[in-house]
Amino acid sequence: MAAFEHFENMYDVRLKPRLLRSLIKDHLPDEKHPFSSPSELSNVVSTIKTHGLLSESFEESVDRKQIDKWKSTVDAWVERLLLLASSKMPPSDSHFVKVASCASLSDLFTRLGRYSNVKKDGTSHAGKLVQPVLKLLAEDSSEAVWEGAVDLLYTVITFFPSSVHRHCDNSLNPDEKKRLLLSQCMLLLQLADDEEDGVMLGVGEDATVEHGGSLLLMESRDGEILREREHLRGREGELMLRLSVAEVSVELRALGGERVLAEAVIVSKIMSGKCSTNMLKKLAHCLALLPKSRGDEDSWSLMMQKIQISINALLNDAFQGLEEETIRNECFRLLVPPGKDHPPPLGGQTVLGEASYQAIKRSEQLLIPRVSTLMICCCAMLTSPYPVQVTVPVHSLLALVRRVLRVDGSLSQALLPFMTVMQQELNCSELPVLHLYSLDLLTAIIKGVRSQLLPHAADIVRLLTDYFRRCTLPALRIKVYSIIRILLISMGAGMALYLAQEVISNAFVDLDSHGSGGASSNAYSDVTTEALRQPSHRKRKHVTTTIGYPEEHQNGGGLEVAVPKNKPTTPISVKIAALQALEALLTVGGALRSECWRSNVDLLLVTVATNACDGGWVIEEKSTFALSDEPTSTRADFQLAALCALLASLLSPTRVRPPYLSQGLELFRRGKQETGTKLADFCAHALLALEVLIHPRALPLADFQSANHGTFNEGFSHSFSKNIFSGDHKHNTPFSRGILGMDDPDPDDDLYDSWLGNGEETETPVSIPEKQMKHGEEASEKDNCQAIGDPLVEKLPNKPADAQAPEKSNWGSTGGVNVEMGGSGDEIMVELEQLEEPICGGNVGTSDKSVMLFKNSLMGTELESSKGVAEHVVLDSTEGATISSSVLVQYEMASGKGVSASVGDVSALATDTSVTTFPAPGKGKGLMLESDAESSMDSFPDIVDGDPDSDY
Amino acid sequence: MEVVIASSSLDAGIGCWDLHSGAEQLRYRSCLSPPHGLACVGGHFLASSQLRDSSSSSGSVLFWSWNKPQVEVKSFPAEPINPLVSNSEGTYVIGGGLSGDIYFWEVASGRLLKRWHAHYRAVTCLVLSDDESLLISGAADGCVRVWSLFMIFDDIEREEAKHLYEHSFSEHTLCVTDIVSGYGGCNSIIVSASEDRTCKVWSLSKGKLLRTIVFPSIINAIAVEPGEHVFYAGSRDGKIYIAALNAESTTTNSYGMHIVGSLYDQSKAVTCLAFSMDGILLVSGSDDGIIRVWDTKSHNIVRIFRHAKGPVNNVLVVRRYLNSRTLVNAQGSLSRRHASFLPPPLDKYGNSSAENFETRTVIAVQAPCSEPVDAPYVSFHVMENQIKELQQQGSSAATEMEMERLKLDCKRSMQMVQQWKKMYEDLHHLYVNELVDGDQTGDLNGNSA
Repeated sequence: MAAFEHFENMYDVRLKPRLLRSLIKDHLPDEKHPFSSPSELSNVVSTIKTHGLLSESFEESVDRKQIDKWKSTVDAWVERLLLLASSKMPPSDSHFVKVASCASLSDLFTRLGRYSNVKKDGTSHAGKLVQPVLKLLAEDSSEAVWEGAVDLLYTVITFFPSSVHRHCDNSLNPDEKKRLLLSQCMLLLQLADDEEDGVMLGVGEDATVEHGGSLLLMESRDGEILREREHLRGREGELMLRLSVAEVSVELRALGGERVLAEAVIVSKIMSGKCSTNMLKKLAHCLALLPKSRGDEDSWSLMMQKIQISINALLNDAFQGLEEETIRNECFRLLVPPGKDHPPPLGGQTVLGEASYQAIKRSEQLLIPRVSTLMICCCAMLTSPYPVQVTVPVHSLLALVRRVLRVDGSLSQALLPFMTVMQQELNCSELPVLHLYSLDLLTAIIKGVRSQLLPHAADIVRLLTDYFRRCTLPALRIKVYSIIRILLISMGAGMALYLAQEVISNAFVDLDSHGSGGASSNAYSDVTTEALRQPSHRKRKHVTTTIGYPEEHQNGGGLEVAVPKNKPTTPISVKIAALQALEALLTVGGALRSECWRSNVDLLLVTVATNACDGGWVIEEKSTFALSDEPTSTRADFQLAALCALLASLLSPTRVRPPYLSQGLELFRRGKQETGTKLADFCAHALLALEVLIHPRALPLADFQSANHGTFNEGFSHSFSKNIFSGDHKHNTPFSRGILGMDDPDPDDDLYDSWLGNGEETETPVSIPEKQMKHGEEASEKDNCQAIGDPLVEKLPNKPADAQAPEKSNWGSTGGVNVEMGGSGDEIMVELEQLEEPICGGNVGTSDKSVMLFKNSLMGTELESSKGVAEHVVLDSTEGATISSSVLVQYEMASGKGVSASVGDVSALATDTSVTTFPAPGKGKGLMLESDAESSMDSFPDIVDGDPDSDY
Repeated sequence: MEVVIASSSLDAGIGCWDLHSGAEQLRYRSCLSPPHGLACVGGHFLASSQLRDSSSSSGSVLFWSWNKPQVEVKSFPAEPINPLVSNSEGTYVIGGGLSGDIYFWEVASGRLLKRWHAHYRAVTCLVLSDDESLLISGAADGCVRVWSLFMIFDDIEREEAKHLYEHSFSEHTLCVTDIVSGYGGCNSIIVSASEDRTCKVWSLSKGKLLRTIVFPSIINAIAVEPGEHVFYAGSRDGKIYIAALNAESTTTNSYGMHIVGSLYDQSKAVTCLAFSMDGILLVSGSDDGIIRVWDTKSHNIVRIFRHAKGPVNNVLVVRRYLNSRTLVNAQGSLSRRHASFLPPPLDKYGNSSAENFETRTVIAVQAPCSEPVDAPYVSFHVMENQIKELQQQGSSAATEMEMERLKLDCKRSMQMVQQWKKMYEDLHHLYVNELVDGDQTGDLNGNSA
């Protein structure tokens, strides 16, 4: 019957029990049919995962019968699995079984950890597991088993931290207590690895002591108890095993429960040198979690202190002959301040038989992995959350980092005779890894203490910049760049002031080479270099004349000079890191005292981006044939990083319009077409972000104006609207409608009314006649195309707008104050608009013509002055924006042609033709200048007479 | 919950209201704050510097935790502190002294990390820049200064520099009454108000004056609208003027250049202003003890809180988490939960450099355990690995298992063989017997036949 009942589709609930049943029937092994091939199992698993066969999740509407059917099938599945698990195949001591059990237990606890109401039960279950897991870990078995055990331990501590804290508390009866203690001691002995049969242990009668009880030790030979040695008592948290090999005497202290035991097991594992790197990392994270089992400040601090002491001790051995004695003493003094108690050693390790420790010490090759592992542990402790606030020993940690970074393998003269070449070779080969980990530690410190880094920031910066100058290995440089990035982003503008110099000089070295690196270094387009050369020459001139930073100048200039052929190419990954650091610098500190480096950096970034993208777009794909999981930087990544940095350079505030805006836009437009790549995503984002640069908005609250009774007739509002109109072709959106809507109720505003009145193209109030828009459009389009600071602009009529527009866009985009900045360009528009208002009542054509006419008359006056003005503006770019606008006007005055006269004409014209609701534009002009004569309220004439420089 | 907190120069405590519901919360007792003397430290607790009678030489800073009306921690700095500000994480508290010194404390330890002479006369307001790396201070002599906090802490750089500050603005002629810093990191603006009846807008990056706005009366407080279109200036004549930043400025306005409007409700002098998180509600405190909440869209009063008879001189809008567990020990037992978790009092004097050795730096407290959305289950991965291992049959364990399987197979086969054998024998028996018997019976039959 079921065979004829077809499913609706692949989502049908009825499908699920059926699928599951056929899996059980056909693919699961049983006593009679051992599974044919392991690959069949993986099919089973993937089917279950894809269809959620065991999830038993369905919608309300599903038939009860179907639910029951599914339920019973799942039950059958579970039964079958239980049957299989209890079969004797394979034997239970197989490592397959161990690993699988660990994994399933771990998942069980992960699942259990989500239910807060079973916390207590979970903890007690987990508690029972800790010792067996530690035992597994301590055993000499395969790496897979260790890994399974560590994973399980990690899960248990993560979700049920206090389970590891179980010790002989009052919940256990005396017998249980004894048993627990005894088994702990046996485990310890196992760690000690010897003499198991020589010692017999017993637990004393007073095992009721609060924290674990004391341990009675008996020496035994051949099973005969010789005598009771002594009762040992210790502090909570102390674990000690004193084992002298010569005579069988053992002292044991196992107080403080399994946490201490876990520490001992993990540390001995780390020190054993038998584990793979991956395993070591996991162990480190486990060790870092241990303090959580008690969750108080002391456990954390103690662990941190112990680990640091351990690292320093190991470094003492590793750096023998490579550093001064004073340094190591200082480090130790920071760790254990004079007069303070020395904490118990990490994992009780040093007393674990001096002999074995010596053996470990001798194998120098093991030193570095150990130090690295402990450093990872520090990092994990610093960056993972902890239930209470803890004090971070920033000073000693920084001293540790500094100590490692200071050693570069060179020998001081005095120590030369004490080290063989081989020793030095060994050291040098291991040092980069060590540096890498200490840089990681530095990162972790920065991440961990966040805003509290402030008192140490200068210290860190100095440490980092010193190191940066010396460090040449790619991996290390990448790390340093990334730390710098973190610092910049987290600490803001103040940090940018500090780091700018260093970031820029290093990034120039790394980025400034032939081509974009990698395969297509020849894809260097001559055209673009040529194109870039033009402005760069000019830039250079300005830099030298105005500021003159020789070093940077040289660097910036390096782009034009032929680079020596033998310069080693910088790996792409380093370049990416350098670009990201520059991006961060521009993001947080692009405006603050950046005059001396901005133009060079902007040029560099546009060059790099152009070159990177010129070789064509690279298809990003994760190669299926990649040999390792290690992420490799591809050219696609490089392109993305270059474009990111370019966007930052375009968006970061400047005094003038970003000089490479149009190049940038072009790149982003092209990149956007690479459908389906990350790059296209980013380019779309960049185009959106740049849109506000071109149409600056400073938007009022939606209906702010409706309540505002002031009339508007001057300056910004008009230039503001103009901006919107000019963009209206492309951005005919609610945004502009909002603005107009806002302006609508203004009773005085018949200008807009008239516009609306002759709106022929469209009915909506948003639109304005096409032709009128064109003025603005034209102006801004031309602006876009022309590089700023080009004195020989052909389109002279646009000149004033050209000089002003970047200022405005810059300001608008960054939320600056720019009311006064409606420069002369805007005024022209303003006046045009005012002028045309009365005329255009019926005839659009006429009004346009008259506008053009008028515009021309104005142009004429400016022809002579504009060149000088442009120069002026560029040179004065360090001055405020308001200044340049005044300079502009004043220059015009000085040029003798009398723009003021023309302005006067305009005002005459305007006042003549406009209705009286408009105040005289001439007065408006005066107000434009008002900002320069700071507090004075009147004064149009004053300024005309004034010396251009007298205001400052 | 967004709350309005307000304090007064007369002892009416610190009032606290839910901005949106209007419900009054706990009132914190005994607080006489100077202007700008009230701060909410990282959202964790309230702090206020105190007005002291002129006889006592030391100052006083009090802390309240959110859920207790009494003062919990009292500190006595070396001199009276006026303005008090903390960074958003609540790691530092910065105070400006009567002598012109600025005090920089670390909250967690109460340690006075730095103290420097910033102004010739009393510091009147302190504000941190947008990215909290710069500190802006205003003084009674009209001076406004911008400090880089890094510079303050960099001993080496500090000695080389001519002066500590990044910018020093001295255009105000009288006491600075309020400073606000705008949006945009290093490119932001600063707006300052002074008793010289002006507000001045400064560029942080250029260090220049951008605009001066002259008001009809002295401005006590400023609030910049989040969009920086306009700013609001609370004045001594009881009006809140609206002044243009990015907005168009007017000439025909009766108030003066750049002033585009005002809010007025017959109040006495407006002393303090604060914006709500949504950027629409503006909270103003006034000398008549009333706190008004304005809707800046409609310019109407939407709510009124009565704080005291006396003048209100501080209002803040603070986001308060209902169960303010940010500092509470997440695992803390019940007994600990009620214990005070406020930091220790602020130190009076800076410690000697030798002792200033280890600052108490703390790492983040564990966030309350959110449900792990996608818990990292491992068994699938492990299973895959094991299947792979089995397929390769490379490892000794895999071989071992395979052997085990073969053994079992062998055993089963043996059993099978035994079975077959037995069956064979049975059959054999049967046949033999049958044949023999058949023969016999046949014989018998034959015989009988």
